[in-house]
Amino acid sequence: MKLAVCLFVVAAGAAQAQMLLKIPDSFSKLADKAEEVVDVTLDPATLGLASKFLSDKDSDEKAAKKVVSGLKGIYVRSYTFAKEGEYSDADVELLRAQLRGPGWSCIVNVRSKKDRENAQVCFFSQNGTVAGLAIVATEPKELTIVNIAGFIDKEHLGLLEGQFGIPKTHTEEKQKKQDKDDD
Amino acid sequence: MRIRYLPAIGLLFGAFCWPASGAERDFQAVVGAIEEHLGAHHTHIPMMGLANLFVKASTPSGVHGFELATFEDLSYSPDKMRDFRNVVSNALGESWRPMVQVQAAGRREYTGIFIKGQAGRFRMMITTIEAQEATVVEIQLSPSQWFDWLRNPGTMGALAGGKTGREDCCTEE
Repeated sequence: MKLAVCLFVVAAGAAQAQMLLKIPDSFSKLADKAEEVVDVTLDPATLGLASKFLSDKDSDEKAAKKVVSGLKGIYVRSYTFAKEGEYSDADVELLRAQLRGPGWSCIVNVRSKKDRENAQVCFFSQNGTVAGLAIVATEPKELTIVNIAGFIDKEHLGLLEGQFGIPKTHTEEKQKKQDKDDD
Repeated sequence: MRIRYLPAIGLLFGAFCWPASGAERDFQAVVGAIEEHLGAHHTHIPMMGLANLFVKASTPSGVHGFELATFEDLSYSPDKMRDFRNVVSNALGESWRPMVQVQAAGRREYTGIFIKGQAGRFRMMITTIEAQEATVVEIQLSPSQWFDWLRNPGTMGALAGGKTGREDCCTEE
């Protein structure tokens, strides 16, 4: 029994490590070269603070608490360079290699040859549910990495829209407008 | 002196002395680290203690207290900005969590927002440097206010300008 518990704990820890993208050590050199570095970190300790203090009585706070309690972290790292060629494909490959690991599946790959822009959206699955999300977007002078770790369902993704600095996409409004135009 | 004035005098004295209290060591640590790293002294702002007393009493936008230090006419080598994020995080220690850090070393710009939960409230340390000027602000706010700001960063503008910014924040045109 003890062995089973230990194995479960080890497996859970390993899965959590996999859903978190490891920023390669070489990226510290990129930070030195970058014109601007943006680093947003909502780690488990910060999210834990939020979860601890949010009320179950207020409906908004209750909904937010539901979102936050499932999350293990939100990380955004963005590098903007003054000129092209400051980062290499090898740098990005260190990230993409992690997204080819067990549990990860990339469902969106956008490549623009004209603008030399690439975007990859990948989900980490665990026990049939989404337990992590990663976005790697590259432009000639910009490199952005977004990593949301933790259990996220479709409903929660909708709640995150427009919060934590995540843009509102107005998907429903756009769809309604599209339907109206079609009529 | 009439005895009825003593409480008021005590309050004023407390307000002026509050910045030097032990609870504000972290704020002083950041200010001191900037002074040491950039070789400058912060500008004295008169009546800050009194302003803080009013904030504590009226709690505008859920803010229960604040500290403010400004630096003007800074003169330093751009190389000093390269590792600036480490200067602030080392001064604050591990009990403070970095939330947002934006660094543009070439333009000599840095913004760092660190947070710490303490006694049912949040303490937020905001450090901004823009070339020759720097500002360090520490505010103590309620959890619900912090979460509101977290969800809608534009609402922070309510503290400065009176507008909520909620409608403009985070929307895609």
